[in-house]
Amino acid sequence: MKNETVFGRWEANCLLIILIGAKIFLNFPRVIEEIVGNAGWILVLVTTVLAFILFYIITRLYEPFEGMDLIDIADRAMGSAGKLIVGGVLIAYLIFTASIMLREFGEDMKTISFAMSPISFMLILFIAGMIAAAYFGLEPIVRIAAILTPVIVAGYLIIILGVIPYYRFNNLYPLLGHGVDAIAANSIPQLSMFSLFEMLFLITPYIKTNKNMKRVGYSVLGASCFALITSTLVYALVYPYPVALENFLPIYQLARLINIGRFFQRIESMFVFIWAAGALLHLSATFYLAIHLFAKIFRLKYQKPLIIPFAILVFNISLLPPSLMETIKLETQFSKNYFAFISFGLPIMVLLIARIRKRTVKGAVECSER
Amino acid sequence: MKGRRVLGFLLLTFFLIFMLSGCYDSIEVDDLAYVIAIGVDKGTVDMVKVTLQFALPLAMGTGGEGGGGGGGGGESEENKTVYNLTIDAPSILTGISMANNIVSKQINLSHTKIIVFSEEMAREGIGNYIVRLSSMRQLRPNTAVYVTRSSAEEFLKAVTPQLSTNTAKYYEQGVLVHERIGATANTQLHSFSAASRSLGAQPVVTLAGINRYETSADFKIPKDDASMGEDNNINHLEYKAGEIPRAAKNKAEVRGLAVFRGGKMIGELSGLETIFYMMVTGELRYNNITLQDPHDSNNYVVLNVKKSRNPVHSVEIVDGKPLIGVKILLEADISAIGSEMDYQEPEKASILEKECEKYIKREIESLLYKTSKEFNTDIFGFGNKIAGKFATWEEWEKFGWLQKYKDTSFSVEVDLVIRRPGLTVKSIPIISSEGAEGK
Repeated sequence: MKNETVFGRWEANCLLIILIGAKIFLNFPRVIEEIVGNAGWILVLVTTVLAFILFYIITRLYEPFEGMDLIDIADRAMGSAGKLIVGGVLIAYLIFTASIMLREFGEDMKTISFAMSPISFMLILFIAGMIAAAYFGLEPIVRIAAILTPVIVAGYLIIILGVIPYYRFNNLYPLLGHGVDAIAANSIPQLSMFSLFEMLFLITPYIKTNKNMKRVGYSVLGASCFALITSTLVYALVYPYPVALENFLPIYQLARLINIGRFFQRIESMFVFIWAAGALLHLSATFYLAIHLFAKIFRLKYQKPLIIPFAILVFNISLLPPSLMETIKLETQFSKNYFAFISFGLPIMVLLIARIRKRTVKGAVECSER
Repeated sequence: MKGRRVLGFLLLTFFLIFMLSGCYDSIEVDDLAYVIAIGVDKGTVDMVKVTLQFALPLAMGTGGEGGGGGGGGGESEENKTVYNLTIDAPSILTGISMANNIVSKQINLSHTKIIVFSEEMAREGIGNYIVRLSSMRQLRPNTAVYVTRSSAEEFLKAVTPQLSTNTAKYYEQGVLVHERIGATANTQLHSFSAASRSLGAQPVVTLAGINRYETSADFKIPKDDASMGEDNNINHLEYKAGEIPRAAKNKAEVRGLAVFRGGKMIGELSGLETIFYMMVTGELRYNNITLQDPHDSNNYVVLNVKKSRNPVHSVEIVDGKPLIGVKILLEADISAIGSEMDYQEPEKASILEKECEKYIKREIESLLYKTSKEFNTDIFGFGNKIAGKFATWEEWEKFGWLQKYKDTSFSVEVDLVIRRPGLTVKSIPIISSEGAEGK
């Protein structure tokens, strides 16, 4: 199957920033404070440095595989079985992420704006958007991401700048939070904050060259680092530890504080918009990529017939946890234990095996397009 | 193909009919009853007595019947732009739920401007109430919190705005009083909730009250805490809420602060003390300080004092005891000179500067030691600065700052510069047949 979809670095950047950054609007700043106290921003900084190092290693390993995605590399390295295993892991991960995030976004939307609506109603609204996005394909998703991401970023900046009157720099003391040990011990598991970064290695055929992949990777890590650090830092500046551990939706709580004069207040209504836009893009992209991977692994000619079955699957899985608290617990456990490995460990492992076996061949681009 | 598209379009349109007509949460604005103030007293037959003050939008639009206009008179009158409902309940939220049995519309708290607790409640502890309220979706975290020296129910009834027909706007503007006069602070659900659980600071709440005077003939100096002539200033009329000598229809007023240790109120600060509190925390924007004229004890000088830069707090631990340095950086304009002295001249202005610095330093020291020795509560948040001396949270927790605050020593430095002489550059004496006065 000839791959005719091509998009630029800007679109790829926007897509990945949405995939990584959406967690900021959920519980990310609070979860980080739970781990290391008010030194969350230091943990994010340390973890970002690690992420840059790991991505550098990945780019070096990737050199002979220009234009190939991770599944093709797994195929070259380990044959069909390898492709099936790597693809299976990624599909399970994407379906899990889509389901859990769908439930969380739906539940949170219900909590902040639609208190009387049943959760299934909220989920159906998102599912309808995901189905439509998957039907239209990856290109419309990334094009819309390219348009909406600047709007979402602007909304986010308004929130973190709007709470400047509430900044208390003394809230950052004691500077090391729960200590250097806690920061060091959690820096590797917390690489999961960049989960879904590995999608870069699935969209490489669309951005064509390794040079593009490198540029996109570094800029996405930089932008994500900015977003993750500012969210944890601003949250710590406004809500002192341990009160910061109370808030269910940290950025929403920040938005609720904004009150500049009698005119500029109730900014959280804007938050609901950027929240819904970001959530829909995030869910649509993960949902589409899951279907795309499934079709690729099993060499299916058409992927549209998979959309409805996958939607039913994601919808039902999202309703399996009995409560929102269980959903968050499940996400936190999986995220801590497996996501860091899937984001960085799995690509490194696959690339290492491929390099060791020295099965790089000419015309890799053509193979990846098959 | 074309037929399928038309069918798809029709189905989408049909679906949108339901989507655009609202969802489960849709409710008409007219079906909501907006609470603009909540009062909480100790209950008579149950745990708490909750007073809900509802806005009457139509009456607010027209000014109510006799609610607006006038002013300057003595007797209080009923505020016709609001409807007060008082109910005894096991908790505030239950009280609000029970009130739904009485009012026909759905109660909504999204426009609540203030929450008032009675002093009796505050002294027993309101920390848990405020923490729970601050996590409510409808209530905004920057909703103002007051402690009233009367009952909260009576306070809300006493609110009869004369210059505004909109009681909600009156509350909104009243909350900003601290920006204009500095005799009270901006205390919100958010700030109380954070400070009451902090290891390095303790909360304060705006002090409210019902004025005690009916006519100007009743005016008298509050005997408990006012004194004059002890030193060279006349700012010692340390009025608190309810004590200001004035006669007006609106009996409600705010001035001073209620001081808390954890969730319990343990004391009060007067309006004047609050001004110095704001200087130390850096929240003071400007205020008129009235000093006795250094050259003429029968006259006074009024300085408009502003924050020049943020105050500098330094911390040292000496022999296990904290020593806190506070440097206040102010600038001032001369607002009024009672005598004929030319304080506009640089040499004479420096005399005034020194006098004012001495006065502010003395008052701030007195306030700091009052909070440490008498109240034993760090309402200035010095602890948050001291936390910087510790590397980890565990070490800071172990230090136990709030227990050590009573042993703290303070060193205060005030740097005040008179920048402008107002609209005059020289004082020309009043001349009569007896010659020039005041020279």
